[in-house]
This record gives sequence, structure tokens and C-alpha cells, in this order.
Amino acid sequence: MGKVTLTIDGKKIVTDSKKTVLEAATENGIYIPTICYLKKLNPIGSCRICIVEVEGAETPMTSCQLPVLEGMVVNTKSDRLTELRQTMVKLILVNHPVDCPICERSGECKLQNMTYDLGVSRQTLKAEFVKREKRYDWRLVRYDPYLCILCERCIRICHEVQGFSAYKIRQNGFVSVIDTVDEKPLDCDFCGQCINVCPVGALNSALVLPARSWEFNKIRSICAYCGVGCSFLLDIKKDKVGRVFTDDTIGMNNGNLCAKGKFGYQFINSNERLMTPLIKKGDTFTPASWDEALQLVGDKFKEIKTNYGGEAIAGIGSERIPNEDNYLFQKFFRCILGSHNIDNILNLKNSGFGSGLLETFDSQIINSTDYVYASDFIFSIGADLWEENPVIGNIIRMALRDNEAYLIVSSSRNLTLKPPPDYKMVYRYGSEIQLINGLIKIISDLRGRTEDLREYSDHLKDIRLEDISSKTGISKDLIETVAIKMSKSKSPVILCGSEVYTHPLGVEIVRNIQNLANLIQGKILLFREYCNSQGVNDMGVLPDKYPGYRRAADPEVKASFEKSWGFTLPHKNTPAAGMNIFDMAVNGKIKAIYVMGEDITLRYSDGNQIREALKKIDFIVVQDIFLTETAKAADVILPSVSFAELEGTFTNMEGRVQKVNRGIRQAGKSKPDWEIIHELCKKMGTDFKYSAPEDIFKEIAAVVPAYKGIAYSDIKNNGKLAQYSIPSKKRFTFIQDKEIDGTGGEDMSFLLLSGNSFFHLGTMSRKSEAMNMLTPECKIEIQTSDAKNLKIKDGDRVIVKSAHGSITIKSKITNKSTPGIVFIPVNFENVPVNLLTGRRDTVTRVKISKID
Amino acid sequence: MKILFSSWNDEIIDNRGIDPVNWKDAPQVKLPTEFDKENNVIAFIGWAGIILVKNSVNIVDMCASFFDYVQNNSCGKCFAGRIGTAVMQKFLKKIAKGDGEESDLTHLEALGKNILKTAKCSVGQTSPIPILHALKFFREDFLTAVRVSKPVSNTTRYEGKWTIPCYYACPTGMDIATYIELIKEWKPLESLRVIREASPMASTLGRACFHPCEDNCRRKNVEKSISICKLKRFAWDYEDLHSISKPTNPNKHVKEDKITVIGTGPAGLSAAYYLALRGYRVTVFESLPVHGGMVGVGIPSYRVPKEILQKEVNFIEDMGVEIRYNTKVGKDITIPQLKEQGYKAFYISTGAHLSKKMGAEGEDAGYDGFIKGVDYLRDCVTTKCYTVKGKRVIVVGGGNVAMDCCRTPVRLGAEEVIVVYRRTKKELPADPHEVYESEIEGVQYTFLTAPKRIIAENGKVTGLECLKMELGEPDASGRRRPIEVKGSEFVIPADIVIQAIGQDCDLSVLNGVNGIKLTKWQTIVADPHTFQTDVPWIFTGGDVFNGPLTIVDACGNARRAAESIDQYLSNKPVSLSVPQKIDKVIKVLGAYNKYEKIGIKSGWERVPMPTIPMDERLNSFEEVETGYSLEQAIEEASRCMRCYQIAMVALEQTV
Repeated sequence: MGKVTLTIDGKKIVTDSKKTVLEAATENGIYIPTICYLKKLNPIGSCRICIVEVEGAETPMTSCQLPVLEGMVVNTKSDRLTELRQTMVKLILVNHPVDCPICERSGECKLQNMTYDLGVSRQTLKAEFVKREKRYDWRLVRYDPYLCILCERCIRICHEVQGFSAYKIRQNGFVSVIDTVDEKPLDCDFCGQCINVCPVGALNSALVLPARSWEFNKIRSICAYCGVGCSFLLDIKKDKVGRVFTDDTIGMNNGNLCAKGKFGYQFINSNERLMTPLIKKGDTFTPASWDEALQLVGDKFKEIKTNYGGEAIAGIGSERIPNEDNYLFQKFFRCILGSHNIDNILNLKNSGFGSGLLETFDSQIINSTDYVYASDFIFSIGADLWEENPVIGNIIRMALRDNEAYLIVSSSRNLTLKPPPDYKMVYRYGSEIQLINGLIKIISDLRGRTEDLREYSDHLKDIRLEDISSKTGISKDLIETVAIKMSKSKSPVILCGSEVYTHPLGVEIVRNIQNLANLIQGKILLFREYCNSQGVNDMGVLPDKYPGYRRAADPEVKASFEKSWGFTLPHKNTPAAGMNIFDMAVNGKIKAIYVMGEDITLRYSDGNQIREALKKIDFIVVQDIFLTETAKAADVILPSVSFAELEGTFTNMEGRVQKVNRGIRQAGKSKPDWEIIHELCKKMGTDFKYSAPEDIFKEIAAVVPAYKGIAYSDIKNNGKLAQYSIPSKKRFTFIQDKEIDGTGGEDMSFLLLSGNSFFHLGTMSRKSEAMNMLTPECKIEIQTSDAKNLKIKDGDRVIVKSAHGSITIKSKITNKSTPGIVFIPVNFENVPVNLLTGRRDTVTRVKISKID
Repeated sequence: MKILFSSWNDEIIDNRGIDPVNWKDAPQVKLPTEFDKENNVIAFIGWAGIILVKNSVNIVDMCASFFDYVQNNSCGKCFAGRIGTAVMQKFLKKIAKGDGEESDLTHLEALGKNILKTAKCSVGQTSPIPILHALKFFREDFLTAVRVSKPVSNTTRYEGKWTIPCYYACPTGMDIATYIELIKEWKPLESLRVIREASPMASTLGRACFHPCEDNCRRKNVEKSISICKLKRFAWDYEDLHSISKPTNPNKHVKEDKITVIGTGPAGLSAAYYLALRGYRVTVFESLPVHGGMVGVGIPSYRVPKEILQKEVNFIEDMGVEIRYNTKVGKDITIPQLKEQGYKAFYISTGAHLSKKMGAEGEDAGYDGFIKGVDYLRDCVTTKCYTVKGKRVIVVGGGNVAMDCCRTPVRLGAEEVIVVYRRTKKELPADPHEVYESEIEGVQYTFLTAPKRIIAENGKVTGLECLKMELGEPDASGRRRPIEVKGSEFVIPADIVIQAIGQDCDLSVLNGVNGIKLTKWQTIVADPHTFQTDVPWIFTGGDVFNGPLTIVDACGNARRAAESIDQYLSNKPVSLSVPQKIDKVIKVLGAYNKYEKIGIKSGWERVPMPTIPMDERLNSFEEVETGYSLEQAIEEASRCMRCYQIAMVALEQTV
């Protein structure tokens, strides 16, 4: 990029030749007023406020669109410019009622500020009054055309960043308004980006705003839903989160949010929150004091430890609770209870992506999303790309815009994506390894042999693309086309979605993806379901690993932690192959369980086993913010806090350690998880003497190698990337294809997949009205032709039966499912999908029958 | 012309109060007075001022009507244009209704001036101009309207239309500013949709159009014109590279009527496309085994690769068009025979594929090494290219065919390639860009030279005897006529002489058809606006109508002809719509003023088109230009100034 020298307001400026005058001025502290301009969007010069005078040019020019030119002399201030800018503001106020006292955005409105800044105090202009229709018929978004200045920020963000392109300008001239492209009520991703960028009060959330903008206390925090870890601002008044807003300058999300991040905050102030400790007496829960409840838990744990040994007490940590609390949780188990029987749901589902992370994979699979933004070729496999980690979708779309990147989406589901990807590969579930082998073969043929590949290519010789094509169901041409494009790419990125990390062959698939990535020098990003799915594993809430994935069975590791912690730690006995906490519970080995922030009844893969296990366990402690299905089975319930009431760190899918800040007072008598554990330790005779999460984090940074060198106080706007040192191994390991057998009888012909539905994640979103409005009920997704064969119509109730159980559910006919595959969302407590699945199933087959 | 008043382009002609006999002439104003058979143009108001043919419109009413039209057609994309024009509209309406005050005139003037300086596009930057002119030169009329407090007379019929200098210059009538704006807004597919409203051949035009639009681009007044042509190519390439499903034809074969199109050149394909989109069943007959007409067998693949053309043709076929190859209409089957088979209308677009004779001695002697240009290019595609390796090649002529004829042997290993042209470089009719590329590829030029005799030994060409020329008085084309310099004969040794001085039409297509007139240049006579011939069911366009002209003219003819054929088959009068009639008026008046001072900072240079390296060019027919990347395209598109300008005619019923 070349440099140019120009003068702005008498100041000599040297800048990149690709910059605009506005950018050059802003960077040099020269203020040019703007309304429609937004850094992350292409400038359109609609408001004309940013006009400047350029020497040698008679007409003022919009600085947002004017490139810097060598020797240019620019003036940003003059009487003429002020008059013209004033005229622009007067013109916009011709249409815009000065209803500031009743406008939600008053106080943060760009037009309001500009009117004042430019000293516009009288209106001399008028146009014919045009009646315009306010839109109250859109869900979650309200549009007031009288306030709209048609700056097109909403249109642009929806097109360029959200990719949905929901909006347009309807009609010409003065009567024009914003409308949806099809002029029907808005039906979009409901990311609310249009609201975030609206400079005036034209687009607003339909959720009631409980305060004026200036009354809010703005707290920077991290979204507690999915693994992306978006930064946002919680606008708080009187301990109530009034809305969620964004700031483009903080976080890895560049101000982008999805529907859950923007509108899913209502669970925080839900009146269903647990406010006080509860002790089950008979069949009912009785409120108790903290002292009483913790004394009971401490006494019970002591008693069980004495009678059965510490290993009889199990613990489940949480993927949505900060690192500090999870760390203290495992420390409590290991140091005080003397038990390694702790685990988390991700690890229970597939330990390859949990405790085995550093051992299983040969190269880095945790990478920064910066690679996605800089990529020219994005290949996703097994991800519902725009839905499961939505803001990754925003980053991808910005790469499509700014790098003209190619996007190839492969999935067993027939995704309808806006904008459409360059190529869509719909493979048969279970043929992923084949697909990747096919790509590897073509690319290695194109590239010729390399030293690394020598042994590997013997395997490749036997691969016939025709076989790959018939196994995957993808045409040979398409595989070849994609492979050729992939082979030519300069900075490829491969994204692995939930279908991969929940897949019975998930580890093998990712290892094969590593072969592919090594071949094309690509970066892999592994999606994570929850805000701290990564952190809970890093913290060692694992039966076989101490924090930092250090082997519990290794005496040296044990000794080192004994030294660091000053406690005698239990030996790690290798459990019987494949036995987990719930297997042990069913066998009567677990007498007590302490569940922190996890609804295991719904989330554990074997619904029957978990229910049986909970029946067998004598003493159940559940620490959560709602009365979850698991909490209902508890003996003691300890009320904890939501992310808005706590402080700590989350580690996102990139391994980015980010700080969560406390914005509101704890609901009722609830306490942060670490405080509860801390108190419990005291009751059991140990005072760890932590006074704040920062103290715990210091210890984490000392014992977890990946967090080494991260100081709590240094974790600012963009967090800190943890450095996972994955030992380098052989670059290429041939992955043999395996058949996956489904569990289920002869008549169970459908393969069952389950996962999150777009507007929900786990069950937290179910406590947010807005999210329930978008997706109120659970429906099984059945492919159109399958439905036709089964004579099922959209909305019909069906019975879904597997070898393990059956559920009744409404149906949704869709082409997103492929023939033979059905999908059920896991987010609905009234439809426990895990009753259909067994923990030892590779895949589950089901029978579907219509209820007449 | 003699007119009452004009402020057009700020040149004031004011004959008010003067006896018409003594009216001053307005030489710059070329306003046609005939609108159509029924109506005359009596006044014109638009982006550059006001023209009054005679004193029969109320100026206040005209200004108010103009601003109604301006406001309804303002795009709404900027504050000044959208709301500023609405405020001006309100003032003008108020005054026209008789409710105005004198102070309104001051406000109107002040606001108009501010809008001129701030609006995003030329609608706002120009529409206040005629109002400011009116307030200045017709102030009395406004003051009267304000003082009398009665509505002004509003009996005149006004018709408005937008134009853009580039649009006005484009024979297809493409909405260029919109498609460029859409590229800038990162909507390449939307952009392509707009392009396809005017031509289905975005790829061919985006590669090989001689782009008259760029000669009429206002950005040229600032530094260099927008790369309009190559941005079109970008939009098409984007769709192609990103393999996004192409649009389909929702009206495919919804009508029963069958139509014959003759020739698969740009005219034939375009006509077939627009007829298919209207639901007709179209069969295109092609005498050769390959499609594309001159694009397929004339333009070499380093300019338009064959596989690109193939994709374009596939797209048109997918709309429901059938192509029958190796069928020469007039020989294998005749138009009357096809009519008997039930074809209801015919579009003749057989092009001009016969090489013109250059009048040199020996050109009919059948020498080995003497080749006709169009045959040379065609044979390279359909059969085999004449061997030029290691030989000296002379190309006679200076048009685009000559350019293709000289740049082809360069790629096939010719030792030397010389273009012989009888005028100077300045008069070369070929696209200057082509000339430039040929020069850097090593083609040499001998100007002011005409062929006299082909020299051969044993029936093989050994050289070309030439005469020196000098330039005399301008001829009918406006170019200075070349005159022989007596006794200046000289010989250029050569192994091959290719003649490329122009083409004639093969009219055997008309065998069996009666009633069609021909021009003295042996082209088909038809209405120049509707393209209907004297046989009402036969329409024409492209080179067989124009004589050898351009791809874009052929495309433009065909777009309009398809509309005419539709009108004909729907039993409607085959005629222009009102907006098309206004366009016709503007075509004469001119929408681009090369002397206009734009008033913005210059120096934002055009993004250069990336090309392949020279060594790759000289050894292959690889496409020379590689196309803009998205980033480059957006930057180039951002230079566009959106020169929409609005015009309105006042009409007088003549009957």
C-alpha cells in the first residue's frame, strides 16, 4: 500500500493511499461530523454532513467517500460548510418530528446531537405532509418511518454483515421508507444489528426499554450463550438489564451480535430465578438460610467421605460458568473431598474434544477468528453455519465482502443459507471421512508427492473418486471443483461444527481434517457450544486431568499439584474401561453428587440412565439459577447468579480468555458459584482465603500452562489468547473410513440427529420471552418426501420411538433435513430428546408414526 | 435553431419581445420539435436549463410540474435529493396555486443553491438549475403568480424522463449508473440483473464492447471515464466464478407463438433472449456449426474466450431458446417455408460476413497467401488457422477486424506483422485500446499507405505494392479524405496479405421474400426505431441492418426489436413508448456536455485492468485481461458520480 501526503485543516498528514479523507482526518484527531457513516460498512454518502472543501474543487465533497490523493488540501470547517451542513439537518428535520422526550434513543441520537452541534435552532423549511405507516407487525423490531432518516445503515449492515438482506427502500423520493424486501412482516435472523446501528430512533427493540438512555449504567461483558464469546454492553438501571447494546471497538465480534445476544437477556431478571437456598423436606422444597444449607451439604459430604471414601462423591462442572468457579470446584473435589470423580457434559459426550484435546490432535485446532476474517477460502464441515455460532457467520460474511473469499459449506443437512455459499456439499451422515479423503487425494494428485505424504499416498492410491462419490452422495465433479479451488487458496480456513464434535467418529473426522489442513496449510477452527466449553476443560473439571490437561494418574503431576495446593491429593485409579460417573452411580458407587450450573437430566446423552442414576444417588446438591429438571431431583438447591451478576473469565472457542464484569446486584440471596464453594469449604474446615475471582485466576495462570503469563488485570477489550502447546506429531496419518451402526430395531429406519434450534441454546434461552416468541415449541424436522411417505403434514403430532424410549412431538416439514434423517432440538424441557438416545449408541435410529 | 428562449448549458438566448423574424439563432441547441405524429415539443426543461420553442407554456406551471416529476423520481438516497427536492416542490406548488409569498422566491433560490452543492447525485445537483434559471430570467412571471394570488394556467401536457450521459450513449439503453452503484454496494448479482434488463450478453459486452458510454462519461471531465465496460464483465464473472445459480425464465414458453431468429450473433441471441423472456417459442437458425456470429468467429479468444461465450449462449438457451446449427436460411430452408411451418414473426440478423474488396490488383487471382480478414478469423475457429509461423504478415485496414487480424498472427508465431492503413493513427476507426494492445504486442503500423498491387511469384504472395497517401478535405464521415501521392509506389515484402477493410452482407437469407427494400450499401431497410421492415412480420437488426457496426449496436437493436415483435404479435401498434420518445428527443439534444466543469477534485485515477504477462500473450490465445477483483471493482465503481439527470418536455397537440 502506497503512502500519500495531504493537508487537512493546515495539518500535514501522511497516510495509506487506500484511505478516505474521513479516515485520515479521524486518525489524526480532526473531527468531521457524520451521520450515515459507519466504519465497518461501505460508505454511501447519504447524509452529506461529512462534506469538506478541497482546494481546486468548487463543489464540496463527501469525505467518507473521497480517497486521499497526493498533495490534496482539505478544509473541514468553513462558514459555507456549516451553512450546508445546517441545511442538511434542517432538511432531515422536515420529516422528523422533534419528539425527543418520548423517543427511546433520545440522548444517544446522532441527529439530536448533530442538530445541537451545528446550532440548528430554527426550522424554515416545509414539505407536503406524508402519512407513513409505523410498523408494529414485525417481531422484536419496531420501525418508525417518521423518525427514519434513510441513512441505509440497516440495509447495509443486513446486507454486508448479516448477509440476510432483509431490507430495502420502498418507493422513491420523499415518500420513501424502509421496508422488508418482500414487503411482508420482517422474518429474518432477528440479530437486531439494524437496531444497533440505527443512528436515530427509527428502529427499536420491541422489548420495553425501562429507562432513558442516559440513565443506564453501561457494563461491558461477554455474552453467556455460545462459544463465540461476543463482547457487548449491558445497559443497566436499578439492577435490571434494560437492553443489550454493542460497541464496534471492543471484542472479537466487531460489534456484531446474534438474536440470543441481542434479545436473549431476559432470563437475567426472570422472576423464576432461585432466590434462596432450598432444602427438600419430604416432597417439597423449603427455603433455608445459607448457613443451614451449606452446613447440611458439608455434613453430608463429610459423612459420605468417611463411610464410603471421597470417590463416592461426584461433581459436574459447567460449560457456562466462569473459569474461576470451575477451577475452585475441581480443587474442592480434589483437595477437600479427595475425589477425581468430576466431569463436564462436553467431555462426557466425547472426551476427544474434552480431556483428550491435547493428546488426540496433532496440530492446533483452536485458532483465532482473525484467520477467518483474513481467509480467501472458507470450508465448513458439519456446521449449521449461520445458526450454531452465529457471529462466526458475520465474520465469514465480512471475509466474503472484503477478500472475495470462497465459501464452501458441507453438511449432512441441506442448509438454506443467505447469502448462498459458492458450493454446497450435502453428504450422507457418516461419510465425512470419505469426503475428506477424496479432497486430500485430488489435492495431493495436483500438488505431487511430498516427503511427508510418501507413506500416506500409498493409501491414497487405492481411493477411487467414484466410490467416494457414491458413498458421500456428492458428485465427483463437485468434489473435484471444490478440491481445485481449495488447492489454489492462499489462506484457507476449515470450520468444524457441532455435527462433527457430536459425531460418533468426531475425533477421526477432525484428525482427517488435520491431514487436509496440513496439506493446504489451512487453519482449523473447532466450534464450541457454550461460552465456557473450552474453559471448563482447561480448568480440569475432568476425571483424569488436573488443570491444564495434566494427567491425574501421573505421580509427578500429583506431586506437583500437592506442592502447589498444599494438600494430599487422592490417587487416580484407572476406572473400568469406559465407565463414567453415571455408570458408577447406576452401579451404586456414587452416593452423592454436586451439580454446578448444568441441567444434566436434559443434557446428558442417555436420558434413561441419568434418571436412574439420580434415583440411586442418596444426596444430590444442585447449584443453579433456575429450578431445572435436575434441580427438581435435588436434596439441596443452592441459588447461584447469572453472568450479569458475577465477575470472572470465560474462554471461548478461540481459546480467548475474556473478562465478564458484574453489572447488577445478585438476585435475592443468590451468590456467585465460587463464593458458595468457598463457603462450603469453610464449613468443611478449610479456608482458601480467596477474596475475589482475581485471586483464583492468579492461581490458574500459575498451574495451567496455556494461561501462563496472563494477568487478570490485563484482560481488556479483546481478551487474551491462551496458548495451547500441542506436541507436534506426524503431519499425516491416514484415517480409515469406519462404518457407523445405528442402534434400533428393523422398523426404526430414521437416523436421529439433535442439537440446538436457532433461537435457543441449552435451556437458558427458554427463560427469555423474546426467544420463546421466536421459537415457542419443539418440533421434529422431517424431510418433505419422508413426510409424504409417512402421510405427515406440517404440525401433525407424531410419536418418535427408539430402542430406548419414545416421545410425542409436533412435526415440521422441511427440506433442511435430508431423506432418512430427522432432527429434534434439545432445548425444550417438555420434550426430553435424550430419552431416545443411549450413551453407547453410535447413532440412534427411530421410528416415526403419526398420531391419528 | 430559432427559439424563443434558451438557458441550456448556461448559454442564454432570449428572443422574448423580439419579432420572430429577427430572432437570434441558438446554434448549440438541437431540440427536435417533433415528438411524434400527433405532438410537437414546445418546451424543454431539464438538467441544464430551459428551452422555450415559443411563448405557449406557463413557466411557473412548468417548473412546478418539473419538480413533481423530480421528486417522484428522486432515488431517495441522500438528504438533499430526497427532502430538498420535496421542499422545493412544496414551494413551487404553493406559488403555482397562488398561495405563494415573495419571500418564498428567496427561500427557493437559497435552498436550490444549497442542494446543487450537496446532493449525492446529479438529480439533486442539476434539477434546481432550471428553477434557478427561471427565477432569474422569468422573475416577473413568478412575482405575478405570487401577487395575483390565483392558480396559474396548467393546461399543458408534460412528460418527464430521466437520463444519464452514459445511458444516453449506450445503444442498448442500459441503466449503467444503477449497475455500477450496485457493484459499489457489494451487490454484484443485483448489478448483473440490471445489466440483463438491457442485454443478456454482459460477458461479451464486458470484454469486447467499444463502450461509447465511456466517451460520454462525466468523470472524463474530471480525469478519466469510469471503466464501465469492465465493471459489466466483473458482474458477470462474479456470478460465474462464484457458481451461484443463474436466474431462470418464469415465462418460459407460456405463449404458443413461434418466432424465427436468423443468426446467432449478438443481435440474434439478444432478440431470442428477450422474446423468450416474454414467453415466445424461439428458434434460432445458424448457418455455421458454431454460435456467436462475429463474436464467435470474428473476435479471437484472447478477447472473448470461447468457453465464456459458450456459457453466455447456454444461459440464453436455458431461457427456452432453441438453436439449429448448420442451417442456412435462404439456402437450406427459406423464410416463406418457415412461415408455412407456423412461425409468426422473423428476426433477420445475419450480420456482414463477406469481406469487402480493397481494389488492389491481383486480389481475385487466387494467390496463396492472400486472405480475406473475416475468412481468416472464421477459419481459425471453424476449421484450421492459416499457418503464419515465421512469416511476414501484412494486414490492410484499420478497423476492429484489422486489429483482430493483426493480433492473431502475433500469437501464432508470425515473424513480423504490419498494419497498412491509408489515413493516420488519429483516424484509425479501431478501438484505441485495441491499437494500444496491438502495439505493445509488437504489431507495426504503416500509416498513409494504400495497397495497389499484390505481388506474387508462382502463385504465392511475396509482397504488397503500396502507394503513399496524404490527407485532403474531410469526406462525408467527417474524416479527411486520403489522396494518392503520384509516383510514390513502394513494395513491402510479405508472405501473407490479409485484407480487412470492411464487410458486406450476404442477403441470400431473403430468397423467396418479396417486399423488403435494400439500401445502396446492400443492407436491409427498416424503421430505425422499431426495426420493422416493410414486411410487417419481418424485423431486423445488427450488421445486416446497420452495415458492419458494433456488438452493442446489434444488442441494442435487438432489445428494441424484441419489443416491436411482441407489440406486433400482441396486435398492438408497433411504436415507441412515451419514455422512448423522450429518449429520442434527448438523443438529438445530447445528454453529455464535454465542456461541463464538474467542480470536484480530480486525481482519483481509474483502476487499471490487470492483464497477463507479455510472454504468456505471445504464445497463446489466453485471455489478455484477467478482470477486476471484488475490491478493485468496488473501488472503480466508487468513482462513479451517478449522473442521473431529469428532463421534461412540454407538448402541443397538433391535431
